[in-house]
Amino acid sequence: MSRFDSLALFVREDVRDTIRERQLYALVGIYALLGLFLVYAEAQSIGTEPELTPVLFSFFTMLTPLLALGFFASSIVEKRTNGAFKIVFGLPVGRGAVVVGTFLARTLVVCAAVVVGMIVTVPVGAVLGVAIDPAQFVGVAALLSLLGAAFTAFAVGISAVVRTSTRATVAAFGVFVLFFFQLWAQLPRAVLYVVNGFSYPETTPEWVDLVAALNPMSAYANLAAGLSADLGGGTFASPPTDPVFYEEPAFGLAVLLGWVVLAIGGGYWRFQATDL
Amino acid sequence: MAAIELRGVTKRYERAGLFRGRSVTALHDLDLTVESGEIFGFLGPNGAGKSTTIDLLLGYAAPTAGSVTVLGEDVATERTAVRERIGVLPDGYGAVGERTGREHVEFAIEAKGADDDPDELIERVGMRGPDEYPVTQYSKGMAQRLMLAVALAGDPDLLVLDEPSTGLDPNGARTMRRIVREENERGATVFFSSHIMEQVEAVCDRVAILDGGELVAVDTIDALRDSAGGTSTVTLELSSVPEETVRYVRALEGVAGLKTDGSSVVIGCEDGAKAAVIAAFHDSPATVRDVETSETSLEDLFERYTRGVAQ
Repeated sequence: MSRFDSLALFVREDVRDTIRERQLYALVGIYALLGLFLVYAEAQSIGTEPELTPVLFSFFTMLTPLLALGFFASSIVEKRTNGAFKIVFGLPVGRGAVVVGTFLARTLVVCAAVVVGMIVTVPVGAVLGVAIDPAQFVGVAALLSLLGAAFTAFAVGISAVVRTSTRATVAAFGVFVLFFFQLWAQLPRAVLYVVNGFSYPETTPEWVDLVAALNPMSAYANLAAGLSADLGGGTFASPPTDPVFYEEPAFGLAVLLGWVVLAIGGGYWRFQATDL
Repeated sequence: MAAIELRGVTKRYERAGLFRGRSVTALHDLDLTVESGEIFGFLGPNGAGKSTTIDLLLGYAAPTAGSVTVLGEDVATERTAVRERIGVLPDGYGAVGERTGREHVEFAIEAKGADDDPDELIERVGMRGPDEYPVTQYSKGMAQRLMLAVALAGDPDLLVLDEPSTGLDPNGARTMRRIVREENERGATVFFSSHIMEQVEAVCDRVAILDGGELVAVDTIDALRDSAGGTSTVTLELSSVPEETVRYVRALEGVAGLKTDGSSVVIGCEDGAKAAVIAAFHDSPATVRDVETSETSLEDLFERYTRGVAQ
């Protein structure tokens, strides 16, 4: 059995585990219900021409990091503490297949939930007279999937490193606060403040903004704003109107993919060297 | 070729901490060879390091020092590949998610790239019926049967069973022993740990006794009995007690003591002196109605070799 076969087997069974544990249904239900509510609320809005995708984008963008971290932070550590890994690693399944496989499976699950949650709004929107831009709709689905993948990577990476579910939950909450609430942007400022002798210099150096742009939520906002001007909501990041190179959409995409590689790579690196 | 080879294996568990850091040495400089094709019993009291040794064999944990070779492969580098040829019944396992027993068996078969029939394996360990329920709802004994089925998937060259009889009813324990023998006849090496000597004696070719993280003995059970200088008890039921023979037997070499109680005589002696004792009473005027002999109890033997837990 090749490495690829055992990875594929693990992904398939992990997806089926989320069905057996009704995790998939819960996620699909949350997105679908919120989607239906949003399309209804949008149809009732007065003044502007009702439009589907921007409103879905904003709210799903707020929801996705929270759900990915909340649902998946225990994915690996739970199997470790309850002894399921004694069975899995008694079989020819590698540690890498488990970390990467969990990431792929849970990413598929969150993407499926997002896509289903969006698709159910289409017929309802059509009936209620809410405009849908098909190209933007597909673009938003792709963007949200990417966001889901990034935060699933954080959740799985954390889960591979910590030894108890409690720590995984706390760490996941920390990641959410750090990135979603833009605490990240304050870190370089704090460093600057200290380095400058406990006062801010008159001009902010370039690297402070560069570091701030490495926040996955900022990268995501920059990517979305670059694709379409009316996709601006849902984050605490404010994409600049005149972006420098590290605020360009392409850079944002690279940053998000970089975080995925870093989180999963780091998780694997620690997990393969640890005692169960 | 050796199926399992441990060379100078030490395992230390460190608990990092500013104030309460500490370390426990679970295994200390262990050398052990299990030959291909044998049934090898791994004995030791609770906390002796049996499960730690098995963790190292399977790559669940890495040794602090020394080398672990299983089926000719170095576990440090070939951790995953070597498990294609091993069947494992681990200790302290838990169900994978909400999967049913049957799904566990199917997963094992597929992960090993084998073509076993899951029904056949489930039938063989005697757990038809519960196989359609989630394993989280199983009793301990049923879970043990299931794990045996998982271990048997793919006709492994080596079976590693950690306390396999835990929680099994007598029928289950018998099934377990039968399967161990069948697998051995097929050509598999069987390595199993236990703290119950009777089970080990029933199936094992050789045993190792581990105590406090060190090997204290590796041999056949008979050889262990001999070297421990075990004493036997002979109980004779006689028509009458011939005084003269009693005096003669008391003086025999290897006889430690003799006790009469009505028409029965109980003699404590070395294993080698048993025949002479019985012959003496047989040749006496009294009629021997019944003879009962017992060897050193396995419990005594176990106690003699072991003293406690890892320091």
